[in-house]
Amino acid sequence: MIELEVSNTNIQHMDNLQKMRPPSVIDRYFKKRFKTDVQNKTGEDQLILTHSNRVCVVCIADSHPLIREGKIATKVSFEDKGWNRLDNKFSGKSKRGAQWLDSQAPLCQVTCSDGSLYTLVCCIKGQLIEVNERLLQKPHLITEKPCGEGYLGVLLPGLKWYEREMQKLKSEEEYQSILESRENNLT
Amino acid sequence: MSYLMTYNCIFIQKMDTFNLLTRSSDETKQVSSSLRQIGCCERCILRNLGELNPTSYKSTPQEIERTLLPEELWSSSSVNQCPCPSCLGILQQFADDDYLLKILSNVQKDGYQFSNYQCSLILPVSLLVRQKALFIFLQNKFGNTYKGHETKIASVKDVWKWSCGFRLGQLLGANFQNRSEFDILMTFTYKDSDKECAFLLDHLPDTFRKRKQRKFGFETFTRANVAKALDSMSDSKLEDCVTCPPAVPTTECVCDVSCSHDAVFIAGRYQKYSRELSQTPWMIEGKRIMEGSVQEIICEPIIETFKPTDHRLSSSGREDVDVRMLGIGRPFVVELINPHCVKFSKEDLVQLQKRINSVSKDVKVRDLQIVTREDTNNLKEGEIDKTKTYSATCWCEREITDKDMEMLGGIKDLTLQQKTPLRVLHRRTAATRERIIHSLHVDKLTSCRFKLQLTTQAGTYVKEFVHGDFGRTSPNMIELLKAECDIIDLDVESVNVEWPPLIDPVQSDNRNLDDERNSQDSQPLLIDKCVDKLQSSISVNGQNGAVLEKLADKQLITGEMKIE
Repeated sequence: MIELEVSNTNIQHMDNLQKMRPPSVIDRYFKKRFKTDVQNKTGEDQLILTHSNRVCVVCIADSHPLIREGKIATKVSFEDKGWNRLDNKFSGKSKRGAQWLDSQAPLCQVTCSDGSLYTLVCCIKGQLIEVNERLLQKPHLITEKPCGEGYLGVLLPGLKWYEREMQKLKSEEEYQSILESRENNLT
Repeated sequence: MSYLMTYNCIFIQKMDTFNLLTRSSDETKQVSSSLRQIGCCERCILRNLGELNPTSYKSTPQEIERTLLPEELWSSSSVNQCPCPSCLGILQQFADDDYLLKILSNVQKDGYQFSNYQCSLILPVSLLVRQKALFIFLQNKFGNTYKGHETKIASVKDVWKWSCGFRLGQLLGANFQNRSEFDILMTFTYKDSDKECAFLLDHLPDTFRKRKQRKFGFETFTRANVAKALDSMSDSKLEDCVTCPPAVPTTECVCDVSCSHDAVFIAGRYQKYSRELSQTPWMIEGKRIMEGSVQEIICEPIIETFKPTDHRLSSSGREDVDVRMLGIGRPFVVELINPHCVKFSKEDLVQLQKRINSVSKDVKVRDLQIVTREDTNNLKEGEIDKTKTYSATCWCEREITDKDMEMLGGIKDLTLQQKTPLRVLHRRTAATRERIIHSLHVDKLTSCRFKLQLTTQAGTYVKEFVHGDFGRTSPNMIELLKAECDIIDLDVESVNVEWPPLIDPVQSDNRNLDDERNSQDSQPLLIDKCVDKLQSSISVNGQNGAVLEKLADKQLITGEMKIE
């Protein structure tokens, strides 16, 4: 990321800097963590943006086949046999009544134009606070803006096991090295 | 003897000035004598004769005694006896000059400033039982004189004030008033109070179920429930349970004296020029995260001046750590609880304001004034329905065109659907709220940076309106410009509340946008960095989640733009 520790006198540099993008919302407020090979399917990686207040935004990672293989998502569904993430009523600051989900629990299913179907999971154990209902009408956001408007949902892990849940996820460095070794395996 | 004659004459005259229930001076003597025989003090004798004129109680006990009683029943002066069964000594030793001097020294020790005072008495509950028993006794003995006149007996509380209020006022050098901001509270405790009420438990167990809630102090007997119980019982039934007349107490009351002054409210407006200063002290697990706070800068000189036991700062909303508060500032009120010093002129307040303003260059206050409790409601009203004006430095991935500026400038009363921002979602109810952006104005700074000025409804999260918060605030600037957009810094230009009244002149605001831009770009979002650093250090140390929770709460203040 761009470092803004620049001397004021370097006017040329300042000018360039002003054209460049300042640290983004994600850079400023979130830490990126990853879950790779979701449901033991190689390459099905997910990105979890964790805010310092424990709120977790679940997204797909750039290495997920949906993006890597340039799929066109035609349908996003938050329900299937035995689970329905849209049926999630809760109230108050404590979010009483929200679904408690396990890290392996399915969050949504994405159907693509080529007929392929992907299941995306919660990645962390916690309360389901939100699903991105916009994806119902605009499934294409999931690949167009994977870590923006195309987020899948929001979870709030319990205070007690927050640290433990974070440990189970992979850091950005670990994720990069996994990607590298995957590529080495292919070649 | 002749001396006594004249003395008697005066007292007989004085007896006429009393307005008693008794119908002849003979009867008065009879009643007085029998009250004296059961151990009543002078003031209680007068009280139980039905005297309701406050002035009458300014007479000394000796004067009262000599007016009402035959000579053989005059007490051998101050060699005092047991406490009075009717007032437990409260109108006796707790109303004499020696005791008033004790109160005086107690009050002086606390060092309050006051020019008038009121007093409150908390009396032992069993006094009610004793009063009732005494009345039944009088009624039985003197029949029609007393029947139906129970309400004509002045209360111990009133008689204490009538008798001592003026005298204590002279000692204190302050006028006694029924209602004053300065209160002297006397709490009388009497060891046997519960014991003397205990019979009520057998008769009305339901009324006196053991209180479990702490707020009632676990007391079984209260003034309210004892008074109610006594009312519900017939006189004959009461006679069976209570000693009539009440027995002479074997122990004395204990009195505790404490003083308090009504809260004083100081209102004003504050400006904050720093992006590294939180409104309240920022602490995580007792450790300070950031030096200073708006609250401390404003309150410390005020506390030194008014010497309260506690204080609270409230303001018409609040801004994040990294948001400046410009313009004429944000209205605030400091509630000073139990202030010891309260006499201040307008000039004193001007000096106080100067002192606050000399503490730090980051916080300035203006329009400092003393307001009433009722006035402070204006502050909260302003929080809910008044508009706020902001100025934000924004970035866009592409150059802003004249068409963009025209489009944005033309927006009037744009309704947003704003989901609870992710940065406050952990502690606020999740909901989608409608908020209105009343107007927008854009000034271009460089090709990719622009100054966005906007007036919004109270409660609008402005940072989220610019960056969209993952599309969770819609419409947002990204949608309006159809291009990536983000916020670099934010200032509150005005909180549109017309309170407190302006005192200091309003300077026209000719700030130069270019000057500002230079200063802002050199230190972008320092707070965010600070929080990030902290976060990583915390996860490295592997401390528990509570730290994160608190940190997160604070980051709210950091990231928060909303003026609630």
